Amino acid sequence: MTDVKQSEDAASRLGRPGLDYVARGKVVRPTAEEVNTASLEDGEDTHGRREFLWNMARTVAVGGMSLTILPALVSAEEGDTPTPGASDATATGAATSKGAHRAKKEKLFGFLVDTTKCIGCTRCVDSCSTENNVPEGYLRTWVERYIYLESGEVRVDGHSHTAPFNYPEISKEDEKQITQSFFVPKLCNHCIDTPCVQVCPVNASYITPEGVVLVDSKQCIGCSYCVQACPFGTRFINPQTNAADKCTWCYHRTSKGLNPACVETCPTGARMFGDLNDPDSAISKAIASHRVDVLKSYLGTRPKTRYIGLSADVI
Amino acid sequence: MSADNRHIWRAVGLAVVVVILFFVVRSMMIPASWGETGPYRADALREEAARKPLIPDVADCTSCHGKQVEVHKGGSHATVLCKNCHGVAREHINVCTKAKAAGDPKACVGDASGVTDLKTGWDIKACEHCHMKRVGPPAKFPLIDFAVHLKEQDAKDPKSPSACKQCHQNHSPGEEPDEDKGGDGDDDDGDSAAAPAAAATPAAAPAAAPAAKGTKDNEEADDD
Repeated sequence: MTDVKQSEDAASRLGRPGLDYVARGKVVRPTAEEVNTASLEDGEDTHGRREFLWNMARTVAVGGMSLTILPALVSAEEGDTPTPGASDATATGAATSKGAHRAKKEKLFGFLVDTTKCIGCTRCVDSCSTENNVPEGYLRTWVERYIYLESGEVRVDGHSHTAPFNYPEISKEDEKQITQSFFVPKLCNHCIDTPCVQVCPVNASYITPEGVVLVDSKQCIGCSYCVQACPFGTRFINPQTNAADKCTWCYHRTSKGLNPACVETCPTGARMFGDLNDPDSAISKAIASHRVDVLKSYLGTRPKTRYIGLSADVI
Repeated sequence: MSADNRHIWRAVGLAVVVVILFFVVRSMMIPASWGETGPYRADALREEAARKPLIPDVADCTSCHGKQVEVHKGGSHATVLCKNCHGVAREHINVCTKAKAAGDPKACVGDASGVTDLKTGWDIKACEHCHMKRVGPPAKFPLIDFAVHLKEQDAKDPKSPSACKQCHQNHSPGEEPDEDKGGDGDDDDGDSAAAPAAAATPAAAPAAAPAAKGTKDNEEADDD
């Protein structure tokens, strides 16, 4: 009876209904009929069921993998990565060294802004908005002004969204205090490790083989995750299409061999566009012969828009 | 099929239906060109690339205005795109191309042509965009306080949009105006057509404009 008592305790502790046979205080043996109909419930047969379920699970898992993941892997190998050559290019000037890694023939577009040449005429902003039919009040590119005062204050302002060239007036007193001032044109950095493309839940944002980050406005659901993800604030939701909109480096022009509208319009050559994979292109030579930097390099997004004459205060 | 394993076949049947449904729904939800060049709709890339460029480059202007482009190239404004002063002018180019093909090169200028995106003649605002005195541009860039400068230079009509042309050549402002060089005559026509305020200048008498325009356009046509 001690065995039964112990089993009873165990049964009440575990609350297992399967141990009802012992819980009632006496050992009840199932009839032959019960054994036949419920053979899977006891002894070795229980192990057999588990094995069967495991085998089923394994079969489904392996089968499912072969149906979904393997074709994706195969197509990834066939289609190459979305940014060929991108992994070779670093965020700074290393991409221009004439190493063996430049052997790849694919184009990798890059952009170079020379802040020491920019005169803040905002013709680029005007051209961009005209060329790309950017709705009023929104900008794909803009020009910031940095003003350093004797007091150590750094003032950052910009032109109006609706009327470019409308920089805030500087008072006569402040004007005497100015030690340095310069313009910094801003646009999409077309990063290699793009936070905006990564967060898109419907893959509407993508990177072209030339390394240009674009938005498929028909696929975009307008959730604006990418607008928040972009550390440079270059994206917005276009009220006409209700889709994310951004600088395309004028893909419709550059894919035809033309320059982007802003580069074409800049009267001082402060903006430069070209193929980073071609060591003889003007932009590659300019990057090789200047000290260039990128915005917010500490974020590790590896921008392809580079700047000459950046200050640490420019963010 | 015995009665004992019916439940297994039911489960297998259900699984097959689920798998088929998955692929049917998947094929319906994924766009046709998905994944051709990457994890996105490849047609989107082609649609973007197929968009037509709007802003013309200098090459689009050279075929008709070769003389002006030549002067412009040699001057201090060589890097200033035609568009910065003359407007986008895409309509102008399109209409001109058609008119030329039809053998009537004059049809692309003036109100009758229906072109609205072309600016002709001097507009001091275009000069101000770059040269207005302000905080920010690099030290070597020439900034001008327009009111003071016009007064100092004793300009005849400082409020006229074409006040600058009294001393500066339009397509190469570093030089003195030179009637022999291409460009100035063209812009005189433009003044009368586009900016009535400029009519005060004797060269742009409205009555003389149509005739002058006609001869100018003929010259341009001959250049080609």
